[in-house]
Amino acid sequence: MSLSINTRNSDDILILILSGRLTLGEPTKLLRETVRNSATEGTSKFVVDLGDVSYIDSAGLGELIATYTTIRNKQGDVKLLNLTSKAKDLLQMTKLLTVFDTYDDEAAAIAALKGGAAGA
Amino acid sequence: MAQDSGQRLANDSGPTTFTTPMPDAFLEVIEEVGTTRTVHVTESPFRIGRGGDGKNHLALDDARISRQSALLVFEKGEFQLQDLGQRRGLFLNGAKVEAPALVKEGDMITFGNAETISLVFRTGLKNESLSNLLSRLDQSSVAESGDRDLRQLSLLLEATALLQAHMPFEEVLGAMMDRAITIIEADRGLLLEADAEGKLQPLVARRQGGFNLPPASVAPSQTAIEHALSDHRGFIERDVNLADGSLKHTESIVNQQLRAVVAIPLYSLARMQSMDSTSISSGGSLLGLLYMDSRRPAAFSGLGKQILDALAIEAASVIDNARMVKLERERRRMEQDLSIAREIQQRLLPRDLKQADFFEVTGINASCYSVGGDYFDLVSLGPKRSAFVIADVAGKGLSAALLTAMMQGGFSGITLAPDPTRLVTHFNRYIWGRSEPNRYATVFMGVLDADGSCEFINAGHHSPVLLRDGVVTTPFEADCFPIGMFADAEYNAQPSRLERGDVLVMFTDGINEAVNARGDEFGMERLEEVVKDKGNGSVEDLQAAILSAVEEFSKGAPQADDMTLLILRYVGEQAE
Repeated sequence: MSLSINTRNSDDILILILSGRLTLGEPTKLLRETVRNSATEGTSKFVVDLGDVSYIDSAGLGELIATYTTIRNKQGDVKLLNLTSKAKDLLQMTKLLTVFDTYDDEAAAIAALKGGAAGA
Repeated sequence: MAQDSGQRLANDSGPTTFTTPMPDAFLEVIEEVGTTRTVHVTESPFRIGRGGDGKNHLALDDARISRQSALLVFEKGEFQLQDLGQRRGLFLNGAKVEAPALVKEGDMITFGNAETISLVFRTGLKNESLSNLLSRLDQSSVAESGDRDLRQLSLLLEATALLQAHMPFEEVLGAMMDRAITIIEADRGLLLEADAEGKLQPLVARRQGGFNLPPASVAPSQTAIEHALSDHRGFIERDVNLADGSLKHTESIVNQQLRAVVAIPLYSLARMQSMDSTSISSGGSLLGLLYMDSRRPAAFSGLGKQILDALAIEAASVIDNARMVKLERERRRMEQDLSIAREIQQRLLPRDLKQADFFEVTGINASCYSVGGDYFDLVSLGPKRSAFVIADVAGKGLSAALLTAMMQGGFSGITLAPDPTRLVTHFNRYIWGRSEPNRYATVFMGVLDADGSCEFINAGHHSPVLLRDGVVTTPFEADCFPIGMFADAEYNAQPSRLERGDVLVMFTDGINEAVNARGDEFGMERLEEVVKDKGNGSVEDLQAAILSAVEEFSKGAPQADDMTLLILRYVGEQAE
């Protein structure tokens, strides 16, 4: 029921593969700490794969925003990957599709991050 | 003052301070068969009588009880009962009270012809059973030797269990120290508690005879403590002067002319129970250390390992339990805070929604926690204009509730200038600057005029469901960021118009995302269906229908989100 995060590196890009429910409590804490730890170790480019995330609540969405803000404040960038239709609806409703770059293809997300400057 | 004490009694809460020390006393009030309440005797004199006009500390609601019936006075260490004029007399254990009568534990007070009411006097009924236990302790200590120490300890355990329920922490620990001092015949004892970093801090010190010592005045032998901690077991130095060990010349021993010391490390109980018989195994969490010493040569010479281990278990259980009691108290205080927060929050919701004659409105907020993150409000901007809002704050519980309270304050600003764009733009920056980016709220707000023209802002919220001429739509899709997420987000109110008879159902996602036991969501389709079917009745009926549909759907599945509805029907301008 809860969230697990697998990580994988592609050069200097960290790919976070989330699976489960991104909800208030342990899941949001796990995401925050994973991102914070990697950022502290110098990672600045992230891909967050949401393909296996079955549910995002308001706090989960807030954590995605916090992740985005944290990374952008460090001149880094984050791309979202494999949004489910529900997640897309949520981002649509909150107008966040205009904030996040979203991809359905990991290679494209990585290419975009490698493509250079943050804020595509 | 009298009023105040009366209220305190009614709530039976709060510590009370006395100018003269009065022991805890209680009255068990037996008013009918099978019902008993206990009243704390909080002060002396303590008045008993009919009616709670503030003069009586214990008000008995019965016509047969005189207004001024009885008085309890604590004087010279004793409680006395006086008849203040109870009709047909006041009785103590069946005997008429003619002059002030001494009242003791278990005595029964009755009133003239009010035979269904009786009071049973209790002085620290816990202390009574405690002293029973302690006297059993003393009896067993003169009994045969052998395992008598352990029997003492198990009695001590009972005693402390009783004590902990009602006595302050320090007294419990003090009583425990006293027994330990008695059992091993030490001069004095010191209980050290491990703080969060595992450092030992003096907590309670006692000397033989049950006297308190300032904990700092006992300088325990650090060497003995180190030995005990490094060996994870009780350490005894029976006669320091004769010992060849490292203790002989250490400073504190010499300074205080100590002869014998005992240091017993205390570990949490789970580990104590799994220890083997030869030593206390290492690796568990250290609760504290029990330290005792004696100036008597050859003190502690008869002290076996068994008794030390038993003492260690005993003292550890006392600390363990004491900590649990502390946590429990904190939990209760937290609960109290939450219930106050809930009360405040419920008061933030509008009390009377019928504020204009050009619409009908109803709303409900059902929090699944004590306090919630949903909010709705309706504000009249004059006879021909009203503003309304529904909001869902991210997160749950107290943190969400605090932001909700801010929303309420912010929204009230609409009365100063009926300009949703300005209000929301300002409010977004305000929240953004005062909270983390993951604290935000989705908001749907609008201003409706009597002629049906209106303005809406949807900041990341679900579009309300609109029922018009039997057709349901969701025409107010969000076009703005949630509030508090981005400093520079732009908000622009959209003009719109409601037709006579239009029903607008505003809701939070606790409605459409309510799940059933299989994990399916209630969803928008079901919501729209209910609105279509029941939208022609009163707004109250529609609200009830939506709630019962959600409840029916999610039967058996616990709901994780607050459910809030605000339903409005525009009925048009009434003829003057």
